[in-house]
Amino acid sequence: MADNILSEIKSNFSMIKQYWIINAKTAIEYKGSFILQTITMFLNDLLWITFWWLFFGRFPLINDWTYNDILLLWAFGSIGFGLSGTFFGNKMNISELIAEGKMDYYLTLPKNVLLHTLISKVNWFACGDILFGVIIGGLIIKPEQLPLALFLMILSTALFTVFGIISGSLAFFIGNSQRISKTVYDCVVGLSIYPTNIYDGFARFILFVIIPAGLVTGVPVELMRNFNIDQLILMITVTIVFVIIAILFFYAGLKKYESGNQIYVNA
Amino acid sequence: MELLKYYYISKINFKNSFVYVADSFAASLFIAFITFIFVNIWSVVFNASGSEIINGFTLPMMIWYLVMTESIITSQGKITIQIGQEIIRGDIANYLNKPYNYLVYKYASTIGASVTSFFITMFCAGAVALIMIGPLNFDFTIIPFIIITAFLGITLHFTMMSTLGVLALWLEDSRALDFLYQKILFVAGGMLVPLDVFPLWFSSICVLLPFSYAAYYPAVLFVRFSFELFIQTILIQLFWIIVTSLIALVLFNILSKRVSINGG
Repeated sequence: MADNILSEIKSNFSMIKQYWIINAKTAIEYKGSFILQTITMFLNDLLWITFWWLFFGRFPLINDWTYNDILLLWAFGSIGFGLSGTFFGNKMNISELIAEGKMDYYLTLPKNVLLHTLISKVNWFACGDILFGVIIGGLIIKPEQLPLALFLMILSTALFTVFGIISGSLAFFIGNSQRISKTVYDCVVGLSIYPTNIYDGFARFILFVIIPAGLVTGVPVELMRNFNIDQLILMITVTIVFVIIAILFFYAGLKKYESGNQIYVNA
Repeated sequence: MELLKYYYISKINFKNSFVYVADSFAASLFIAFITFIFVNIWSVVFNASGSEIINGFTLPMMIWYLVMTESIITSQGKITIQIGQEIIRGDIANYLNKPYNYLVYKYASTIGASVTSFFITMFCAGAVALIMIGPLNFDFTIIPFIIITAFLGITLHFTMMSTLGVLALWLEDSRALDFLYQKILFVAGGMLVPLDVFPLWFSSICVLLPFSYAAYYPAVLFVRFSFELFIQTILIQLFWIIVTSLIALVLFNILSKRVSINGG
């Protein structure tokens, strides 16, 4: 039993490694496109923080948050989003794969279906996010806070991925849901790039407990500002719970999946 | 007679857009969500300032301003990417042998569909504004003027996006251009917050650029109408529409000569 689990873990790691090699080779082969997309996303993020710089120039404090807190929020947001897009880049295509019957490819191979689906594509724009996040984070995160920041970035990456899986898996239940899936995911991303300390009452309850999108970047910034072990434990717990929910949701939906009976080249 | 065919293209796309109303509502939910976020941001800012007016805008004006900019900018979808993809994939060849100009065809079909999308976004984002902030003190007699400037704003937005879409022939990636253009609209176009909030040096540069005439000026007229500003705005909007259309058409003519069709 233990041998089987160990062998499956080994097999999955080997698959991840092979995909990373293939993806890296693809980036080198199409380096023009890779560089353009990386620079574009970097400039995209730069324009966003320019917007906040202008905004905070006029209103220096928003509920005790300064421009530095927004930069921190963007460091978590861009690294979390970037890592999720680089290593689990296919999450944004799940609804399309389901609606067009293209999950067959992943179902016919003796690999973990969800993991295989997630890692089989890279979003090259996400590399620009990582570059941006590393530079911004490097400028504002103090060395003594680095271990905590890195740990929180892993949690943010997990949450971005989890929301991608859940929003994409909606297609199992409601058919052609690309637009709705994208809207749901965009709302989570949208929430992670605006200050999260502006909500109170019912809105705060919804955004931090029911659909904990506020945890993706908002709680990490709060923890960096004022460390609180209870809040950290809560964030770890909620992340684990949502990872489990996403996996169960995906596999529950997979039982409803109907093959498209299509033949296509997965190149 | 020549223009009549474009009118019919527009009309067909307008009718078609009703088939995708549910899809438009799904997309508008995100815009409603962004409105919700900005209601919260501005509520905090207004509370902290202790003033009812910031840079000439009350809280309802700030929010309804955003409702208008979002309705204009999101009504057409991602034209840069659509045109870019058609050029990169070679689908453009299917349009070149038709008895119309590709870019004018694209404009006619986009405008037809964007009317429905504009009002659905206005409805969804407006509902959030209405519930959370309340109505705008609005003079209904200015509606015809607002329709004119919003229409010109949508047209200018289209001509700028189509120019970038045609550039995809050289850059081979329209998504990258679209990303940057959208963010420039956020900042220099005054899409998220009025340019009045930004430092004078920055807003002075922005008024010299075409982006603010797609979003900022139509939305300012919507919440704070003045006839002088309306005349000035539509004249400059027309100027930028002519300039950007000419650039798009010239680039497209160069592109058409470079298209090689291999059959198949």
